[in-house]
Amino acid sequence: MSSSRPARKSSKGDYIETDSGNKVSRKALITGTPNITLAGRTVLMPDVHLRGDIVRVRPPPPTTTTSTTSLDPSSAATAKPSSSSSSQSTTAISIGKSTIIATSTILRPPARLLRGLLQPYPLKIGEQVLIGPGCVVESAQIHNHVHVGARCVLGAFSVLRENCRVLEGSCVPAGMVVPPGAVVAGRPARVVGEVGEGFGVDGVGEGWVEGGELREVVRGIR
Amino acid sequence: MSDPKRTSRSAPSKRTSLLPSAPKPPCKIDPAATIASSTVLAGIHPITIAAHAVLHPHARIVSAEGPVTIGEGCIVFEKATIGPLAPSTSTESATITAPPSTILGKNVTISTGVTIEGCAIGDGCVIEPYARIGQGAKVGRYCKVVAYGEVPKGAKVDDYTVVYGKGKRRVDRTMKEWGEMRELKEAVHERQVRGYQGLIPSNIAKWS
Repeated sequence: MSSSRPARKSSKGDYIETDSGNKVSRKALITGTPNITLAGRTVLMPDVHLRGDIVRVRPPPPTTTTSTTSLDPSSAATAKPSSSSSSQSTTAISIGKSTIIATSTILRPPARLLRGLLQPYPLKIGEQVLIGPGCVVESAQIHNHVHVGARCVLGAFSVLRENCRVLEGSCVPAGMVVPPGAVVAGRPARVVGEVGEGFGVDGVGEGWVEGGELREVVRGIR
Repeated sequence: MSDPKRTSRSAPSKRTSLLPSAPKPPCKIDPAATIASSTVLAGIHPITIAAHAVLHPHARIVSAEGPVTIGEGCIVFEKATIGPLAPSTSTESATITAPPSTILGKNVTISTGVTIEGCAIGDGCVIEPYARIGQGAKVGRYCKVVAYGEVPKGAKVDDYTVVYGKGKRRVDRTMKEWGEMRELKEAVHERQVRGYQGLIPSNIAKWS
């Protein structure tokens, strides 16, 4: 942050780098680690909250034994693989390649009531997405090459389509679908324009552009 | 490397802090409440947490300047700060002599990053991310403060009001005129509480 201060000499870096190139800050606050998937070269900056513990729990085994006995063996046979598959597929948060989650952002999987039970849904973030500092993300899905500015609130079950841009300080309402290539802003967020033709197209020697490939940026973070 | 306390590379979470742990505030927590282990309760005044309240990880309940009461079935999300903060009381509101108490009613939802400083919030309110409720404010029942909304110091918000934009307000007439809506909302909130209770491992023993 402050360039005047000399770089801190520490044997351990501020980021933990995994085999697939994910860079996770030591100060990131992550709960429910087994339910979080990072695709590789993903950066989680300090003070990022990942709520991996908000995940769909397997429904309790059916206690209704009132069904006919002839159905029992088949239901038992079908129950086993389904339960094992559901235990494998419990993903709360999945983040794509070369995505950067900036400081103090909170990623919380959205949840809603389904048949009288609180059912969390997975929060999916695509590739080359940049989420600015201080955001609250409860989206259902964020597609590739999305740029989210600082201090945004992305409401529950919102969907951000490809190449869209959320200006800083916007509040995307719950359930909003931002169309591809749109620029949204305001509280509540509305479509205010479209991204230009060059959005996400890397210039030669100009460095990173919004919506562009984040690979080089990720490489610079350590 | 020479310090034996700092060499635990494999398990950094098990490293014990060299600082003495902060004194626990006097807590009165109902056994049916859910408090995540990384929730922070701090301060010197009493903290009361009623049954079925859910405090998410990294929520902060601060009773440094006055007592905090959290009502039945409240949900407090991560990074929300409940309780008056020291700087705001000492600088501006010198007129308030009694310790400002923070009271959350029944079934209140406090979302991420909300700051609540010594005020009363009525039953069934929803406070959305990064809203601020100033000191001495009184928020009525079934109110909603939208994201980044602000209730200034000492303000009074009537029942069924939605606070939005830059200090704009309107009355939620659906909620006001239809008792069934309120009942439904309560039922939904109850289900939400039950859902989160199943998801968040509770660690009440840490604070009592």
